[in-house]
Amino acid sequence: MANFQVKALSGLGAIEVAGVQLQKAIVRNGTEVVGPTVNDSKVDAYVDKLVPVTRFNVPRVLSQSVPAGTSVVKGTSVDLVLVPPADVNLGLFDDSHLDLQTRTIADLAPILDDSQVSLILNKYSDAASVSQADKEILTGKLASAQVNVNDSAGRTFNQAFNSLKGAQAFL
Amino acid sequence: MSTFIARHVSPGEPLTAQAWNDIVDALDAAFALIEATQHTVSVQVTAPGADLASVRVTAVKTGSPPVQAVAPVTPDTHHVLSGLVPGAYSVRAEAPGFAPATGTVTVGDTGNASLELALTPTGPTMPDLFGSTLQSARAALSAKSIVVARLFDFSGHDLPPLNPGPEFDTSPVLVQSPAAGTVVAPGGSAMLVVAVAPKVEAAVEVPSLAGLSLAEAQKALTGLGLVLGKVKILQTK
Repeated sequence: MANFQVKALSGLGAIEVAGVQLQKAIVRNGTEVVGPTVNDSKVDAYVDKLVPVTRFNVPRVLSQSVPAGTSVVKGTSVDLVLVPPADVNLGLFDDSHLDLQTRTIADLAPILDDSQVSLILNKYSDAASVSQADKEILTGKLASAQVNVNDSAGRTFNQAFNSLKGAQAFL
Repeated sequence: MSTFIARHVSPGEPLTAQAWNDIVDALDAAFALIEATQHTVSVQVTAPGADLASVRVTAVKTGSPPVQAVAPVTPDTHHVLSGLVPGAYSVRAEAPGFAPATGTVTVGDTGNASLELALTPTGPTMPDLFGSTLQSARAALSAKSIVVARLFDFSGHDLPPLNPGPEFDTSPVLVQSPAAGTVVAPGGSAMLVVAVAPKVEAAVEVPSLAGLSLAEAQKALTGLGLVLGKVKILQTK
């Protein structure tokens, strides 16, 4: 069956009703993008050698033009700045743990991906409600990554928990 | 009136009593001349429903240019024609919505004159629309052949005067111009201000989007009725 296309010609107001071959038109910034003809066999061989892009290279929102919590009318436009998590260190978060401030999200992946840590972070919404047993597990896991949790300023459990919760959003 | 002698004094010369008296006499004579030749006519215009300030009164004397009266300032109610030389004048009063009235007055050599003129309304009287719904206000004006020329809502937005839309039919009139009781010229127009319920635009709280991917952030914004604006994707050097 022939492909029929009803096509409005801009500026003329005319409508093409004859049977014509369907054409794909891809336009970027008003200019038609004409893709190259890809050699499938070469591409397949090339793709076989590649590895998936790590999640830490997929850009995530780091800042937004309208601060969170601001009341705005519907239709308001929000500009975003995205950065790969591998480039985001926890020192960018408010009141982060001193030992975590120079660590990037990628650096913390082993801890954040730990099933016990992940379970605890998902289980509690705030540090104050973490049970003593879970607190000890989390503190131990962090200690193994040279993150000391104690009562000294800048190294409290609250700061460590909140830093990890913030980092978890970038996973 | 005595002849005025322009006598100049040289520097160092004393200003004599004679010279001073000449000056005083000259001023007195000039004032007397003005008083004798420039008269005023006070015109009392009766025009129920008219703003007297909008009534125009003019006096015409054959061979002289017309003179327009100064409109009264409340609480005064008289129009004043001034600077009139003696003679017979035809005085005319006119105002929108009224038939012009004319009269004659003779200005003599001494004293001032007065005149009364009554204007007869020819146009409709502006009804009191305060508090009426726009629909009934329009009907009342239409019955008097008064057109709504301007229509505003209380926030000052212009509304289409002829067809503002059915949502305004029940809006009460807050302000009208001309004022109630004012005579409007035949085929004249009116301006109304109506109250409308303020439109409250739905507000949403912008969430924290930190950590979300672009697709997730866009979905979150769209879900809240917000719009994804400019996106910058950056990395460390």
